[in-house]
Amino acid sequence: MGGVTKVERGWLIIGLICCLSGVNFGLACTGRTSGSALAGEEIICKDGDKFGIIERDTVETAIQTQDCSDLIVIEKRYLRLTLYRDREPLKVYTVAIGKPETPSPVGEWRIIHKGGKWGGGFGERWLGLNVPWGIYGIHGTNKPGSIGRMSSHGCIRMQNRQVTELYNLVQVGTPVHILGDLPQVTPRKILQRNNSGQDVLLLQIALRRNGFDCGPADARFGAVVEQAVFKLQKFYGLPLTGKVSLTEQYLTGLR
Amino acid sequence: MWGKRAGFISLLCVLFVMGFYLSFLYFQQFQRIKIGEREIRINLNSKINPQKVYHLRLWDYDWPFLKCGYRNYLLGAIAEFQKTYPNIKVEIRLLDLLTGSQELNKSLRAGRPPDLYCSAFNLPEFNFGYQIPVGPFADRASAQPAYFAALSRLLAVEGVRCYFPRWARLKIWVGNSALAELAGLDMQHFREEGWNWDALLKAGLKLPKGCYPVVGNPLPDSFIDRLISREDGPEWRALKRLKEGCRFPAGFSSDMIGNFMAGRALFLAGVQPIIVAKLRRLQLWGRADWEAVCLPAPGWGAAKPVTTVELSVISVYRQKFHCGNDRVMAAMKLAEFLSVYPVTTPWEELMAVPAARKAALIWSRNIFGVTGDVSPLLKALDRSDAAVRVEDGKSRVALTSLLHNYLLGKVSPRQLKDEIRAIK
Repeated sequence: MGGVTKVERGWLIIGLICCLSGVNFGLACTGRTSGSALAGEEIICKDGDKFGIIERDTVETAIQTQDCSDLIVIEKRYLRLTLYRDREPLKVYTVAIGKPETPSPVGEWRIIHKGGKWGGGFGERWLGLNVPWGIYGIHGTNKPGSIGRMSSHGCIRMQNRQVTELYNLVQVGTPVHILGDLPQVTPRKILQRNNSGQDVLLLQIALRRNGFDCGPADARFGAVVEQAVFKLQKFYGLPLTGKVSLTEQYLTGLR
Repeated sequence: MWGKRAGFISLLCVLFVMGFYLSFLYFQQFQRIKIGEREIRINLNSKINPQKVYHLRLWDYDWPFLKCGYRNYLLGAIAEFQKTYPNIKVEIRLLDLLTGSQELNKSLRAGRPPDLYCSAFNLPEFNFGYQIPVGPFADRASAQPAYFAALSRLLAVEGVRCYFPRWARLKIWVGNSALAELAGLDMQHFREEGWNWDALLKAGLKLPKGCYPVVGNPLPDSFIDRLISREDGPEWRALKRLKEGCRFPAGFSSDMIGNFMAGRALFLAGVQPIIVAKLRRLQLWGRADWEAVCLPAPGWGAAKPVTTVELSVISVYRQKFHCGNDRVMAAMKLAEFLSVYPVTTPWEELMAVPAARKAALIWSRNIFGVTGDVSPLLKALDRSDAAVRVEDGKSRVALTSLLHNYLLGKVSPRQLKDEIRAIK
C-alpha cells in the first residue's frame, strides 16, 4: 500500500481533462448549455448577425421596468455604455454604435430577449431591445477593431468578454436608455393609440417636456401615452379625443 | 301596588314629553333649506370652538405641469388661513385630473366624502345626501366677497347657491389684425363693447381668396345643446346661415392653429387664452405684419353673448356619521377663504380668471400689466351670460365632429338631423 505515484497522478489529471472536454463537447452538441436556443428560435439583427434566443420577455416573467434596480445607459456621444445598479455606476464599457446613415435608435428601451452564438470560450452574447422599427440589440463581435467607433448598422457592439459579463449581470426587462440626438422626422398628421415609430418617440419626449408624464419613451402609443394626451387636452380646453392632431402637435412643440 | 304602577307610568310619560321637547329644541336650531322638491336641514348658528382642534380633509387636483409647484401653493394658502384659525388642521389629497371626479363619487357612495372638494374644469352635480349649500352661510356673513355675477348665477341649484366659485376659464376668439382691417372690422371696439355674428358674416365677403372667416370651434356648447334639444329651433336657422355665409377650409378644426398662424383665417374661434399664451411663448407668431387680438365670443343678433366657461368650484360636505355642525362651519370658513385667496400664481399660468373680483384685479395686473382697470376678458364676463362647458364624452366629440362636417358640406341637413337623433 502506498501513495499514488507521479505517473498515476499524471494519468488521473489527463483523464479528468478528457472527461470534462467530453462532457463539454457532448453538451455543446446536444445544445444543453445555459446558452441553448429555445426550440431553435433565432433572429437576425440589424448588423446581419444571427443569434439564438434562450430567454424571451413574457408578461409573467419579465421584470417590470419600474421594479428593476438596474439601468443601462448608452451615451452615443461618448461611445460609452454604463450599467447602473441602485443608481450607482457598476460597470463602464466602450462600445461601437451605428454609423450616421444607420444610427443606433435613441430612446428608452428594455431588454426583451437574451441569447447568443454559443461557442467555445466567450461566444457572442445578445441582448435584444424592444425597438419597434427593427431588431436592435447589444451584442459581441468578431471585429474587435470596430469597438470605439461608429461602425455598426445600428446595434451596440461590445467586446465579447465584456458583453458576456454584462449578459450575466442583467435580466430580461432591464431598461436600456440610448442617449443622443433625436431623429429628425415629420410626424404623421394624426397620432393615436397603437401607432408606433420615431414620430411617436418624439411625441413622448414632447409630452414629457411639457410636464405630462407618459412613461418611458419607447416609441409606442399605448394606454399611458393616451392618458397623457387626455390630460394635455383637458389642460388646453381641447376636445378629449385621445388623439394627437396638428393642434396638439403645435402646442407641444412637436411641430 | 296601583300607586306604584301609576307612578311608573307617569314617570314614563314625563320622560317621553321631556324627550320630545328636547328633540324639538334641538331641531329648532336647524333651518330647513328647500332645494326644489327636497329639503336640507342645516344649523346656521353653529360656531367654531377655539378650544377644539378640527381635522379637515381637503381634496384638490394635482397640477404637476404647472411650474409654480401647486402643492406648495396650496400649503401656503392653508398656512395663511391658519393664522386666523390655528386650531383647524388640514389634510390635503391631490387627485389625478382624469380620475378625480370618480374618486369623489366613490367617496359619496361610501358616505365618506372629503370636507372640501375643489373641482377642476367642471361643476360637480349637487349631492343631496352630504353636500351643504353654501348660500345660506355666505348670506349671513358680515362681509360678503364679490364674485362675478355671471359666474355666481351658475352656482345655484333651484335658486340656492351651492358652491363657492374659485376660477373660470373663458373661451375666447382671436382675431388677425391685418385681415380685420381688410374686412373693415374695428377689433378694439369689439374688445371693449362686444360684437356679434352679423359682423363676422359681413366680413367674410370682403376677405381675399384663400382666406377664411373662421377656424377652430365656432359653435359654443350652449348653442349645440339648444340645437340638439329642438329640431326646428332658431339655432338650426342660425347654423344654416353660418354655413351659407362662411367658407370653411378643410381641417378648420384639426388644423386650426396652422391655418390661423399662416394668416389664412380672420378668427380663431372658441379657444382658451392659454393656447394663445402658449403659441406666443413658442414664438410661432413669426408674423411681423399682423397681431393676434383676443376678443370675447360674439353674440347672435341682439341677444346677450354667451361666454362658455370651465369652472372650478369648492363644495362642502358633511359625513355619514355626523361630526358636528361646528366642523361644517370650519369647512365653510376654509372654503370661503380659498375662493377669494388673492395669490393667483397657478391661475395666471392656467390663464383662468379668479372668480372673486379683488383676486381677478390682481390676476389681471400680473398678466396684462393693467392697474386699476380690468382686462377686456373680465369686462366680457360682466357683459355676457356664462354657460358651463359640457364634459366631453364620446357622444359630444362625435356630435361636434358631425357639425364640423356639416359646415364643410360633407353632410346634408337631413343626414345631420338623422345622425343627431341616433346620437341622442
